[in-house]
Amino acid sequence: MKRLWRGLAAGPAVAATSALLSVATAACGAVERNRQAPSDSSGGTSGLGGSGAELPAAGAAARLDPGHVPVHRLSNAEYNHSVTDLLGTGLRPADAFPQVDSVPFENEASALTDISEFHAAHYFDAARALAEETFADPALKAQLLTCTPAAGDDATCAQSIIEDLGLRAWRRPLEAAELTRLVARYQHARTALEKDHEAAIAHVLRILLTSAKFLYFIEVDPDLQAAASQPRELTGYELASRLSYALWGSLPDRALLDLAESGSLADERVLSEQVDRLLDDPKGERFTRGFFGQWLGVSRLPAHGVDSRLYPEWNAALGDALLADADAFFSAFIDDRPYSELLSAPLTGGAGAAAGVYAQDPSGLRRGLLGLPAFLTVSSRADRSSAALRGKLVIERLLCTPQLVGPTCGDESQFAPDAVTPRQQLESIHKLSACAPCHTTHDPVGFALEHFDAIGRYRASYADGQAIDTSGQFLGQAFTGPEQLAALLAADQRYALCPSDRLLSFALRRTPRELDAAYVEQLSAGWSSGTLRDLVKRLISSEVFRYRKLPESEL
Amino acid sequence: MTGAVGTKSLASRRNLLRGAGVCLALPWLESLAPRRAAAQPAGVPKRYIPISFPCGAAGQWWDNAPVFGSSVFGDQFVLSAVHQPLAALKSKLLLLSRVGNYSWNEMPSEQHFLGPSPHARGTAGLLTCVSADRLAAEAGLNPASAIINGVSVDQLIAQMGNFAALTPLESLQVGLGTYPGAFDGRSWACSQALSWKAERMPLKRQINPKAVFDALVTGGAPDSDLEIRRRMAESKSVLDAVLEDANDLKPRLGRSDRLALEQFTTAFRELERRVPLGPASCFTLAPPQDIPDAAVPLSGLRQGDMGYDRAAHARLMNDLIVMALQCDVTRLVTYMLDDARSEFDYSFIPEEDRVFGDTSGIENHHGGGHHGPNDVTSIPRDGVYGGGSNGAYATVTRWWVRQVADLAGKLDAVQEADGTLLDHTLIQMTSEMRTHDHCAFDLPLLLLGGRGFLKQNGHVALAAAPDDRQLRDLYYTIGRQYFGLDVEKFGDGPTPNALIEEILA
Repeated sequence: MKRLWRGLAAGPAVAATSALLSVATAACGAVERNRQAPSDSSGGTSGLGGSGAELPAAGAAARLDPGHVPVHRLSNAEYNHSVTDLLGTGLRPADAFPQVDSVPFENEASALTDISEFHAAHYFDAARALAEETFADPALKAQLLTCTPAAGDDATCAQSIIEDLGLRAWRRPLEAAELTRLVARYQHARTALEKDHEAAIAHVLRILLTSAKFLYFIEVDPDLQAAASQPRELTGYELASRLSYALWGSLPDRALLDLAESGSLADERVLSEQVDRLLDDPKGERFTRGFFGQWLGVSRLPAHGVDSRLYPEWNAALGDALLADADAFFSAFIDDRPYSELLSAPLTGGAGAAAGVYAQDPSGLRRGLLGLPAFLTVSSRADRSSAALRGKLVIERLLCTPQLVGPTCGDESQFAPDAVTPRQQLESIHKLSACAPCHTTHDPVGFALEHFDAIGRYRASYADGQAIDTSGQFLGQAFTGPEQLAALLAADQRYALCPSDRLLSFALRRTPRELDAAYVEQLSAGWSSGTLRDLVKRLISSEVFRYRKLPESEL
Repeated sequence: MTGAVGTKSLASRRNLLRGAGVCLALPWLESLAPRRAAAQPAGVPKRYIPISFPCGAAGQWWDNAPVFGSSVFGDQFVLSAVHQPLAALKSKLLLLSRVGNYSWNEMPSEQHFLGPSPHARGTAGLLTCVSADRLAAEAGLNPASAIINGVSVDQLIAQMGNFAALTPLESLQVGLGTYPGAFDGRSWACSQALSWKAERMPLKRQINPKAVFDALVTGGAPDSDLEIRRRMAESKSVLDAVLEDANDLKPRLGRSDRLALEQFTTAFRELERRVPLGPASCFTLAPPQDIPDAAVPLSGLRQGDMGYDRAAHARLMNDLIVMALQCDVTRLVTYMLDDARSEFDYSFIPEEDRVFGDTSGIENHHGGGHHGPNDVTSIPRDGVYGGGSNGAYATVTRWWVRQVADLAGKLDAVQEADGTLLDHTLIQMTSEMRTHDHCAFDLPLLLLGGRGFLKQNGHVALAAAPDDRQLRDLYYTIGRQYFGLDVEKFGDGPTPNALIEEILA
C-alpha cells in the first residue's frame, strides 16, 4: 500500500495554444490556418470555436506592445532550483507541493497566480524545514554567516548578513524599510524568542523564504499610470531575473546581480555574453531539458505508463535512459545543429540502456525528432503505439497548432474488434461523425511512424505478422514514411515560426497573446537555419523581453 | 525522491496519534448528549457536503421517477439498480427529480442545453448557478481563459454563517480527479473547482490525501506545552512578517497583481488563524489507514500507474472527510468524484457494479458516453428524454453512488448527540448535466441525511411544466431553511428565488 502513491507524475499534456493560430482553433481538425470551427458541437469539442471568434484578428495591432509578466508564484521546479542555488541545500521541498497542470509550459504565469491554504501550508512548512536543515549543516551555514557579531554590536553583523541574503533571495536589493523590518524581526528573535545569533538569522531566513517576494515572480512599476501608457525598459534586476529564470529556471547568481547593479545589462553586448555564460554553465541543461522537453512533450516520460506485461524490457531505468538520450539529442540544437535539422539529424544510437531500443534499426530509417524513442514513447498508449496520438502530437507541437485534447471517441479497438491492423481500426472510426474531425486529421500523419512500437523500437511488421503501411496524408498531400512526412512538415510555414512562438512563451511565462504574433514573426525572420542559441539571443535582446507595458485594464 | 519535509512530521504525528483516545474532547458532546428534540439540538453543528460527478448519469437507469408532480415514500419508494449501493441507507435518502440548472444559461433557444463547452460551463455553474461566460464577457475577458464565476453556495453559507469563526478550516475542497480530461474550452477553474470564494477566487479541489490530512492536523506534533508555545510564537512572527510584507507591496501593483497578492494574504491569514488553534481536536482521532508517506504528486496518474488505485483513493478521501467532520475541523466540504469531462479509465470497477450489460467504452469515461449507438448526435434536445445511455455509463454511475454510500455509511456509524454524524450532515450528489446529452434539465440529484430538514426515504418528483424547478432554488432552500441564514437571492434566473417546499420535512 505504501507503494501506492509513490512516483513522479507530471500533468498530462493539454492542448497547446499559440500566437500563430489563435483564430483557427477549430474542433480538433484544424491543421489548416483559417478553417472555421464546425457548428456541430456534438462531440463536445468545439468550445473554442465560439470564443475564438471574439478575439481580434492576428496582426490587427498597429504598434508593438511587449506586455507584462503578471505577479505569479514560481513553478515547483523553479522553487526547487531557487532554494538549491540560494542555499546549496539538497532538499527538494516542491516535489511534495500540489502540482499544477499548465500549458504550454509549467511556468505559465496564469496557472500560477492563484494560491490556496494548501499551498500556503506547504510553503510555510518548506521554509521552516529549509532554515532548519541549512543551519544544521556546518558547511551550508558557514556560507551564510559571513561575519561574527562583536559583543554589543550584534545588529551590524546581522544587518549585513540579512542584506546579502535578502538581495539573493528576493533578487533585488532590500528597500530601506524592508531591511529595517527584517532587522527588527532578528532582534525580536534574539529577545522575545530567546534565540542566539545563528538561530535568529535562521528565523529571518525562514521569513525571507515564506515571503511573497521570494515565492512570487514580481515586477513592480514605479508609476502605474506611466507603465500603462508606454513600454518601460526593465531595471537591471528585473532583466537579470527574467534571464536567469528563462535559462536556469532559478534566481540570478552573484555575477548577474553585480551586472544588474552596475547597469551593464542594458548593454546588448554584455547581455549576449551573459546568455552565453548561462547556457554554457552546467545549469544551462535546465533550459535544454525544460524548453525542448516540455515543448515537444518528452518531459512527460517519467509519468508515462508503459504496460510492462507487453513490454517486459520497460522499467524506470530505461525511461531515464531515453530521457537522457533525448537530452543529448536536443542539446545539439543549442549550437551544433540548426533547427532546420530537427527532423533530419541522425540519431546517436543511444547510450547504455537506451541502446537496446535502437538495436533492430535498419539503416537510414530513424532520423530526427520523429525517430526519437522518447518522443515515440510518450506519443504511444501504454499497451500499443497510436497513430492518432502521434499525429496529434506532431501537429500540435511542431506546428504550434492547438489541437483540442482528448479522445472523445474512446478506445479505437472497441469500434472494430475484428479489424486486423491498427490502421483498419482507426479507419473504422473515420466513418463516425463525432470522431472524424480529429481522427481524419491526426491518424494519417501518425501512420508515418508505424514502424516504431510503443517504446520506440523498430518493428518490420506488427507482432501478429501483419504488414505495416506507412503511407499517409498531410494537408491533402500523400506521403510514405517518416522522411517524406518530415519534408512536408518542414515546408509548412508554421514549422519555421513555431520555435520562436514557443521560446517567447517559455521565456515570458505566458501563452502568447495576439500582440505577440508580430514579435514571433520578427524573431523568426531570417533565422530558419540558425541555432537555438541564436534564437535565444534574438529574444533576449528584443523589446518584448527587455521591456514591459501594463495593459490599461490593470489600472 | 520527495523532500523529507512531510515525512518526518507525519511520522512523529502518527506516534502521538497512536496513543490518543477517540473523539471525547468535543465539548458539545458532554453537555448536549442527553437532550432530545425533533430538530437538531442547538449547538450540534450542521454540515453540508455537495458532491459532484462529471458528465451526467446514465439516463434511463437513474430515471425511475414516479409521475412528475407526485412523490413516493416508504415501501413504495423502490431503489433502481444504480442506487442499489444505498440500500442500507434508504431510510435517510431522498431522490429529487425535475430540478434543472439552466436558469442562468444564455443559449437563445433550448435553454436547458448547455451549448458550447458544456462540461466546463455546467460544472462552473453547478454550485454558483450563474454563467461564468457572462461574467467573463462583462469583465472583458476571453471566456476560454477567464477565471471568473459567482460565489458558490458553500462559500456563501461560510461567509453569511461566519464559519471562519466556528472551525479551524472555513471549508474544504477535495476530489479524486488525478487524470484531467480536456478542460473543455474554458480555464482549469471551470473543470477542477466547485467552490468559488469570490468572483475571481476558485478553490481548486485537492486530490492529495496527504495534503488533506496535513490540513486537518496542521503543523507537526509538538512535544510539550512549552514547545507548542515556542513554535506558535515563531510561527506568528513569520506570518506577521510575510503578511506585513505583502500588504506593503499591494498598493504599488496593478489590478490583477493586487488580486494575486490578496489571495496570498488570504491564504496565509487562514494559516495564521489555525496556528494558535493548533491541531488539538484532530489529534484525538486515529488517522485513516494508508495515508501515503509523503505528499507525492498524484496528478497525471491513471489506474495502475505507479500502483495508483482509484478505489483506494476514494476510500481514503471518504475517511478523511469523516475525520474532518468528526473532529469538527470544518463543516463544509465540496467533493468532486472526478474532474469535469473526465477521461479516466474506469475498467477497474469490479463485477458487483457491472449489472448493466455491455460496458464497452468504460476505458474513457467521457468518450465512452458518446460512442456507438449513444453518440450524442442522436439525442434530441427538446427538453424531453432522448435515447438511453450505455452500460459503461451506468456502471460508473453506480460505482460513484457506491462511493457516496460508503461516505454516508461511515458518517452514519459515528454517534453524535442524539443521532449520527449523517443525521447532522446534508449530502447532495449531483452532476452538471442530466446525462451524456449535455442538457441541464432533470439533473440526477440525491440528498442524504439532513434529518429534521428533509423528507426522507422517498422520491420527490416535482412538476415539470413548463420548466424544471431550478437548482438555485434548492440552494436558496438549503441556505434559508437548513442553515437558517437570511439568504435573499441565489443564482441567476428570470424569477425571484422560491423555496422548494416539497422536500421539507
